Amino acid sequence: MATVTQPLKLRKLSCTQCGGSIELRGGHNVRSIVCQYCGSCLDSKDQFKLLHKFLNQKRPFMPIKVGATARLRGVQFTTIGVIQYEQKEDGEVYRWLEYLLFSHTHGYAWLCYEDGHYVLMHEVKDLPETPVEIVSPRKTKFTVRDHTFKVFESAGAQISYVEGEMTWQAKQGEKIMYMDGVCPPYMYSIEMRGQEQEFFWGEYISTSEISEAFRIEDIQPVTVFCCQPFAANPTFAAMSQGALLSAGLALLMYFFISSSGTPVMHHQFGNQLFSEGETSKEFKVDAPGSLYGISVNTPNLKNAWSFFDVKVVDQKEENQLFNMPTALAFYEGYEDGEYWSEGDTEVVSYFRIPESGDYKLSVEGEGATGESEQPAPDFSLGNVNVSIRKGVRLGHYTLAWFFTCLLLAVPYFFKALSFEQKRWQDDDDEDDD
Amino acid sequence: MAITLTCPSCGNQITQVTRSSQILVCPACNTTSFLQNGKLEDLGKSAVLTDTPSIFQIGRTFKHKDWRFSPVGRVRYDYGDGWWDEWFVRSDNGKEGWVSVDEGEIAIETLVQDKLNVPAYETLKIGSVLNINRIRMTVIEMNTATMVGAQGELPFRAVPGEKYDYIDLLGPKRASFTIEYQTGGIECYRGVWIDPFEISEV
Repeated sequence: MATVTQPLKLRKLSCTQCGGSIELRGGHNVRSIVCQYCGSCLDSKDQFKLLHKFLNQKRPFMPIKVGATARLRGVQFTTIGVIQYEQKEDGEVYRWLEYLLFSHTHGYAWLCYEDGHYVLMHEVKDLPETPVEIVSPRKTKFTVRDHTFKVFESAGAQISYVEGEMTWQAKQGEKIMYMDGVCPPYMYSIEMRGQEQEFFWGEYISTSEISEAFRIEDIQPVTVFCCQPFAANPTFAAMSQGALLSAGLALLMYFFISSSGTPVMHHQFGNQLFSEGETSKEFKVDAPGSLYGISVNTPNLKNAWSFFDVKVVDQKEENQLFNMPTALAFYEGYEDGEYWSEGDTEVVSYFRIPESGDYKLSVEGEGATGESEQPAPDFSLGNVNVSIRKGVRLGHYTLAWFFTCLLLAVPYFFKALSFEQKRWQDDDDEDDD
Repeated sequence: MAITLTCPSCGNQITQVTRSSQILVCPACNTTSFLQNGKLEDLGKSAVLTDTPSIFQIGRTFKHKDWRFSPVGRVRYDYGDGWWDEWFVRSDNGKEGWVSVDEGEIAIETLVQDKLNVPAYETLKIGSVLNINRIRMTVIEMNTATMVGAQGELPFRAVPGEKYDYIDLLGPKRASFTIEYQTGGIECYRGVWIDPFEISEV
């Protein structure tokens, strides 16, 4: 049997139309080469014959040059071609570049450059696991590879510039339809070119990583890109997330620790309370030093204020242990057809009694309706309910801890929310319109 | 247990891990031999496989998700516009399969042992839909393959220059299916398309 040898591959040639130097850097799936000097599109599968010409091409600003090499995501790539797409919408023209990268080990990938942002994309055979059309409303959800994507954009675009090697015969003005879904930092795109539909998986790459990989200047973008992940300072992010966790724990502890206690006594005072004062029935203190709560409830207090001097006295009503001045006010009404109210009809105070025993409450009250600051002599509320509960646990410290932690966490999450709003800004603007 | 064999063409010593029937390519003179019953039979010269970087290398171990495998041999096929490599791989559990690689397009496939009734090559076209074991699969490629070279350990007597028609199909969840219309009969391979970015060397 004769020895079979593989032909050496041509790596450099002169353009068959203008003689300009063309370097071949791609693999055997390259179908055409567009000369950067004269725009001739040459057939790489048929002796570099002229297929067609890209006329009056205006070379755009390209941060990365064709031929540049870089190691991205652990893969060595060579830039073999570039396409500029443009999209016209409401009189505005949006342009972006797609660099075709080639790797001997991983094949072809696209490095998309728009508004200073980069996304590395490659063709995949993963179809959406939930139905989604190439033309779908924004924020439509679909799943690919167990990731939930939201449709960011469904639109059409056309080629406005081509240079270098391509895996198909690109044409001037060639139109595509596409749908971009985002799940930061990932992007999933469906692209339709003629009758052919292709699927791409992408990942956002920071300009710093691109700058280091391609050895180019690091120019930080000022906008938020559709699949750009929210990247705060790691220490700030960790602290904020820790603070949020602590806030959650504090709230949990509050619910475990705090208690409104168990009822000890309930007494309903009448109008006598406002004329000469009234004393409640006895209540027993069997947990000296523990916290007791006293609630004063005035169900009939409306557009009025009242003041109660609540005294804790001994069983014989001879000695007063202490008093708790308690003020209540409740006002309501309608203004411009809308109901309003302010104040409360109930107030809770707390006390501790150092010795066990039987005690009573001695209460005197006064009040007035309307805006009068002077007590009205004939003021009454029908009835005033006073309740005492024992074993009250307030948990104020845990609540303070909760609010402090929440306050520490808020700036980070506010920034994250603001970042997310900027991502979808166009959409929200459209909604406003 | 490893065995040492002598190349029938140049006398080079070849150390081989298994005694199973297989194609061996002498690393010294590139002669393709067929190992059967412990003896090497000269099949002629194999193509010199261009030393381009590849995602796989013989003798190394790779991982795709939970599947660990080591390429032990490869065959290169030409399809006119280009070529692809069929890597003969062995899993940790000894199971053998094929991984085809065409510039980042990668499919893992194993031979279908059941007899399947598949349409004749001429009756199909790109975009045709076949129901294979009740799974809808679409023809995405049809072509003629020519064996151009081989390397390492292979399980069949492949001869450079041999041609066959094939079709590649794509199904849901990256399912792949290949029908090879060989002179000796039709062979089917079932598997899955995988993403090269999900492969790592162990």
